[in-house]
Amino acid sequence: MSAKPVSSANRWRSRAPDEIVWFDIAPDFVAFHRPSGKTHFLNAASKLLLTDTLIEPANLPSILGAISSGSVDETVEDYQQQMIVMLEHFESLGLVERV
Amino acid sequence: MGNSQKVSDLSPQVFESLLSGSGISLQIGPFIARVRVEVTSLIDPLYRFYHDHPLLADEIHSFHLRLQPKRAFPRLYRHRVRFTVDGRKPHEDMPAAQALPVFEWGLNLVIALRSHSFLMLHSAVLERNGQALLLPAMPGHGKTTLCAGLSHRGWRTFSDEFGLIRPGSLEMIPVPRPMALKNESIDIIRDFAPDAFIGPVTRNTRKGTVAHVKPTAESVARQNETAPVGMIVFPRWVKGASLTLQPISKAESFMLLATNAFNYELLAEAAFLTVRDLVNGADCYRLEYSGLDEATARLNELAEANRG
Repeated sequence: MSAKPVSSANRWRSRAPDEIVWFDIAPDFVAFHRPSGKTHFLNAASKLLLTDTLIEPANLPSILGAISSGSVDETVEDYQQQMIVMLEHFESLGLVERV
Repeated sequence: MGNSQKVSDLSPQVFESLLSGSGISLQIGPFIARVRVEVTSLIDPLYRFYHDHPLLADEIHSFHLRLQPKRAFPRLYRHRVRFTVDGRKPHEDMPAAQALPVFEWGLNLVIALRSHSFLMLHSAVLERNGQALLLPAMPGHGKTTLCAGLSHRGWRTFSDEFGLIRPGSLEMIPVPRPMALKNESIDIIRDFAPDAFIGPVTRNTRKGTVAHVKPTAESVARQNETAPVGMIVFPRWVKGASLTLQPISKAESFMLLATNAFNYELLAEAAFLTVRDLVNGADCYRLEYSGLDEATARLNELAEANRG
């Protein structure tokens, strides 16, 4: 996990999305991350995040909006907290970075 | 590997003389092993177990294996044997009474540690109707028993231990060798396949009582014939269980197969792509069984259904 606390000013982006090889096993995905040599099991939302939403740097409300497609209120703290946990986890795996 | 001479072409006396002298070169699947054994109790079992294997001459060897009695301190160690590969000792000297398992496990160790031009799955592999069946499993899940059983019900044995495949290929590579039965499975196979050649029983090994069953002559004769994977079945023997054979998801199959490989992390992306393609191209099941008759019959039915 990152030692840096998350702030509302943080923006995130996917790290080298072309460095991930995907295996589509509907409804989930297996991802091989070339730089680390690790294999990850991810859901569809995670794939959307890594291959689409975070191609360009995005802040937390934008990320929540894109992932939920407007179906949740992205200002609700619970959702924000869940997303922060996921982003920090992806950061520790080298899949995303803060910019 | 074009030599047609086999171990069976040698008399037992000549075999012993060569094996305990300068050694013999055996083709075991994709490997060429130079084997030298000076432990007299092992000569006859090896002659029988490797009876159908090709003998080669003047080859570049995959490895040099040697098993010799060790008598450095006669009073304490006179009944021990030393296994070496390319002159190096991978483990401590072992009791001479366990010479056969020591040799076979030593060969397993060498393959597992060195053969990284292959993705190595911890899996039994057999073939029927031109399609390979993978039986990946943890130790103690009945993989070898099922493999030995199927090999006496019309299946060609590739291995009870190693699922070898070259990255980028979908063809399993045979490496037929004696199969190590443990504990109760020895008598189960004696009853199930009375014609099977089962070698000497070794007690008190680190895996309990062990006896090896010889691969069928056809399996060895066709050891250069690869086969694509048609089915992946994750078996588990459970005492008293009713037989169940359930399809499982590609995701679960991928996870089980990748974590089961000896060198998945080492081969990295090549392993990922190979496991992906294996899982994509095969039907995947989980098998729970207690009776060998029932399990082999069910897998035979499955193979016939897949045929067509």
